[in-house]
Amino acid sequence: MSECNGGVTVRLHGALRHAVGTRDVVLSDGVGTIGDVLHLLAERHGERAARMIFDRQGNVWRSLILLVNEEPASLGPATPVKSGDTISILLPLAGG
Amino acid sequence: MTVLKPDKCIDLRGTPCPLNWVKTKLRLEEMEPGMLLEVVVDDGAPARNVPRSVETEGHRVVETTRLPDGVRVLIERC
Amino acid sequence: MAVTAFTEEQIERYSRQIILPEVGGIGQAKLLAARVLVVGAGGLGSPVALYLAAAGVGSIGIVDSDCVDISNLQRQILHGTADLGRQKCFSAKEALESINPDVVVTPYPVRLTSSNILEIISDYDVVVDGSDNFPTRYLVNDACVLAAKPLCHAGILRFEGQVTTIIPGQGPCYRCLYPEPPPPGLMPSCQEAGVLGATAGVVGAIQATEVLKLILEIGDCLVGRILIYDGLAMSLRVVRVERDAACPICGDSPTLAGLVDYEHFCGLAAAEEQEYE
Repeated sequence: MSECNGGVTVRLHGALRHAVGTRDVVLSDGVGTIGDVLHLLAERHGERAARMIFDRQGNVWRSLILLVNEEPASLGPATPVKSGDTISILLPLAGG
Repeated sequence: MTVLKPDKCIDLRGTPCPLNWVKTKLRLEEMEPGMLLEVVVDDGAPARNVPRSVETEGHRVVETTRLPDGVRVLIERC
Repeated sequence: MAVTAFTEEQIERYSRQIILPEVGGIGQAKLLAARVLVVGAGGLGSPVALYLAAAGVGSIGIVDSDCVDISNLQRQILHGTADLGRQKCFSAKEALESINPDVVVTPYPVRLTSSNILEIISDYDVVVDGSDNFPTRYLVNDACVLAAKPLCHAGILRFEGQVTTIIPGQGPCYRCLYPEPPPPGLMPSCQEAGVLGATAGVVGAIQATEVLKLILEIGDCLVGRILIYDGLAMSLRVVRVERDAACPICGDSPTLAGLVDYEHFCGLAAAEEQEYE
């Protein structure tokens, strides 16, 4: 697991932003991968947010688009993150 | 000196900016590269604006001639 | 197209875009000959349809089975107070034709389903998704992929929006981006979470821009890219997205040969929890 002194910033969008109640979440715990980030979010921000992140089988919802520093996360949830990174979580918006 | 004969002519006296340019542009679109279009516009703003727009669009103003009641602009479609 | 084919009024009406090097008389002729279907005459459909009509897109189809409600007027700028209770597609037709009598508007006062969509979209060159629910979004996507119709998709919520342009066979489709619908009732609608009216305006205008570019064959469309708008931060970002080679509808070996039951696909037919009212 990589060092994570300054923390990572998670930028939320759409329904997840609404469920968590804030645009950005800063995680200063040791997080090694995007998967770690997703687990922390799901643990800390209520059941509704958790159900937007993980499906009933406990897999990451396939309709999340994960970015690290604005680039697509090449390994999905397994993508490593380091201190200072910004992780964006996009999800579909149905409103029209 | 050879007098250049235009392939097409339009009289746009009385047509304000930017319609005079729009009509010039539409006529140029119908023409092949190398053909000549003669346009007559009012003196004043039209005589300044149309040649400028012609060149911005990439065509060539061959010559402009002051007339008693307007300005004749000869354009090469590029 | 010969300049004499435009009326004097058309030359004046469209002068500000004919002037554009990317448009000209040739482009204006393409717009007048174009046929665009707008799904939804609501928040997104309104600005899209308004700008397409103003630009002279010659045939516009409007699909919407709803009636105008007072809560719509905050953002659905096709409709006014005098239209309350009217079917939206007819209110839209009147508004669009009053802006531009060159445009023929065909109203479809129906819900799109697997039974009617392929026939409806067959009449059009481009489809715009301005719907407000997941089943319709997947339905429109699949139909456009099957019929090889370019589709401009967008979605909004609160102050945010997303836009992408789907050209079947060239870039990713909606299923490539979002392969699984969310569990029913989980995602808030604009009814629950709210939406700023101007959000719909910004995002719908971007959709209109994309459609006009498709018709005119100019610029770079959002193919393989999602534009992310955040009105609170006032940021616009564009993110690259890839086509999924294993996509069931547009992938290398598609498993879907036709349309499915989208209410069922989105879990609505067998919803385990109450939908938010």
